[in-house]
Amino acid sequence: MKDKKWMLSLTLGLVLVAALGFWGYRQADARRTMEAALNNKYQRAFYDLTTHVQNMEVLLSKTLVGQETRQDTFLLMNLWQEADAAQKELGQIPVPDGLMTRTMKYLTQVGDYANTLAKQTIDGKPKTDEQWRTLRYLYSQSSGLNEELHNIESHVADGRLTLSELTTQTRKGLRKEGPQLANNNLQTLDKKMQQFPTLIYDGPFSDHLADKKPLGITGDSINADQARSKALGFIDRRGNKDYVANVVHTQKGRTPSYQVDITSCPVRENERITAAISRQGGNVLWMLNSRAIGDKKVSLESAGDRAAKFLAGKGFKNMQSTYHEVQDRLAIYNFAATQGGVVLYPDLVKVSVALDTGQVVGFEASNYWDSHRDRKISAPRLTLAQARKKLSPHLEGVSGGRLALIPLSPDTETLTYEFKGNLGKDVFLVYINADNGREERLLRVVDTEEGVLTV
Amino acid sequence: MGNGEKRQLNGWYRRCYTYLAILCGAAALLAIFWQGHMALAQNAVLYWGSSGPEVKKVQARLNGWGYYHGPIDGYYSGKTQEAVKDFQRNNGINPDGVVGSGTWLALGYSSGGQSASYVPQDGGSSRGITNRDSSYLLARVIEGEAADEPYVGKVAVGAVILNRTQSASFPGSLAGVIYQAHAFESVSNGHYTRPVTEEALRAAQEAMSGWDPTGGALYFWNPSKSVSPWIWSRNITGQIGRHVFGY
Repeated sequence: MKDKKWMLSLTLGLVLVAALGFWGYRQADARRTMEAALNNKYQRAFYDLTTHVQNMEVLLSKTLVGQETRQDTFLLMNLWQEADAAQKELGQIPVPDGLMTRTMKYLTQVGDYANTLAKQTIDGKPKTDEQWRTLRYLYSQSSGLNEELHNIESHVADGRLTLSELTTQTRKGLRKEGPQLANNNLQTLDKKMQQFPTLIYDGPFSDHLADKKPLGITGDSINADQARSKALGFIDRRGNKDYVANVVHTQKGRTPSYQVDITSCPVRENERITAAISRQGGNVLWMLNSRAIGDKKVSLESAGDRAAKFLAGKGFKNMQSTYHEVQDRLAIYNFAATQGGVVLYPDLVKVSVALDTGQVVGFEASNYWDSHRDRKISAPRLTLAQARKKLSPHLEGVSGGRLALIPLSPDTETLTYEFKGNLGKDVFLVYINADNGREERLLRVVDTEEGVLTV
Repeated sequence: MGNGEKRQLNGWYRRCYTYLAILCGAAALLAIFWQGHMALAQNAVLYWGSSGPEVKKVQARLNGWGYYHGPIDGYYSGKTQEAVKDFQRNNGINPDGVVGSGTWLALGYSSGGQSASYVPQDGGSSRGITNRDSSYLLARVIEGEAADEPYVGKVAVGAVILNRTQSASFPGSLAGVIYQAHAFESVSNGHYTRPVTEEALRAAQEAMSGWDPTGGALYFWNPSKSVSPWIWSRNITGQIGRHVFGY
């Protein structure tokens, strides 16, 4: 009797141990396979990065001697692509926060710079001496980067370094405690990129844009109390409810502002409004109402009217509705400023309307305040009829032809005629330069369920 | 070796095996339970006495729809139960006061991994050109990173992600930024696959339309959690909810 019990517990124990062992083995095996797959993915990204950086170095050296327009354009376009690809691969390597930002920025800027120069070359303007010197500097940087990457590659190749260990190291926070081979190598690499000078050119990633002052914000500084009353005066009230401005935070950033929290009194339906008022000039930068939105009762047309009326009531004169997006029970309307009949696409204001009551629950004007000012718009050299002749003969049902100012790069705005036309079912917007008749931009208009998109 | 000694030894072995068996059994049970628990972590069944963020979610939703007027505190009280019953009655669900999969669905949350509010459209005149995919992806990360933040905090997290796509130091596409290694905790640990709420989708949409409550921030972090000291070297723009923002 006693023996039987002993045997039973022994067998049970053995079965359990065996089952657990088998389960554990399977788990460990699966983990190994996953880790290998992950490591291979990282290796692939790393080797591709090395290849792209090497190609960049070669292309950069070629741009220094290339002179002919056709050849130069080709080299610069290739350089843009290689830099872009290298940047993407670098983003795949699991390095901790902020370790590779400098290298990342270098790759982005080389691509962006090449792209800007390529456009300039196509326009028939050869690169200036200063641009040549910048290219030479970029070339020497790429050689350094290339060298360092090959150095790391030799560690990867002989197995001293596996990239997947970066993932676990970072998670454990070992980074702080001891020098790690992979991190160290990459850190050295990023340090070398620190000596890179600021790069100023006419592209979206140029360094000078980071501290560009908003052009539309002028006037004296206001205090927190003024911000409070400004915000209270701005919101779209529902019925005769009372609203109370509660807390005011200060917000730094490019346009320093006061952030005002407002609640309806008594609080209903989670109605909590936050608005940001610029410290200089006291302009409303944005406003968000987080109340829940009930069932749709308001049509898109009347919601659009509500948005337009709201803007007019807040002192935004001469605004033109451009397009809208619908997100479930919320519609977002875009308005562009106009000046003397010219639509100013850089000066955009967005208004979101709740489709249950038609209340304005959101307002965003940071683009507007960044670029809005009284512009000197010279009269177009081409007439509407002349511009229209520049359109493609394949474009059908051409309409429109209003003057529009469009941003072509962060620093240039161009006066154009805006035409709408279609090819079959596809609808396009074509922007013809009002001075020289060049086709500056081509947008496709897509009607989706969520509204009108331009791509 | 004497007989008595042998018996004693046998007894010792026996006890040892029994303990081992019990230990193994417990371990196996624990493993099974753990896996099961992980699978059920998404929108569990809630009833009187439940507590936690899931309850908060229900309370917030019922409050928004006018069924519940009590505090949104994460405790499934009698008041919450009454509100749930009212909601169930109005929606043709058996009014038992228990939030099961049917009630979750009616509340706009799905009990599985998929969200009820996202229905892929087949291409109409747009033939597949849409920004729905991006806003949904963004909404998932917002939900993963800022589920318990106020609405403005959700838009702010969305804005940080979008600011990164515009920054030279980060990948240039939305997916590139979101799936960058170590960039977002909820993506690294898989929590961003939680079902997306309507509020997160709305926040994603407003962030994509240009709302940026952060003043151009590229980083956000929760100071009460352990963060790498490096992060404090950023220029801080401000705080929204529990997150500090900086660039």
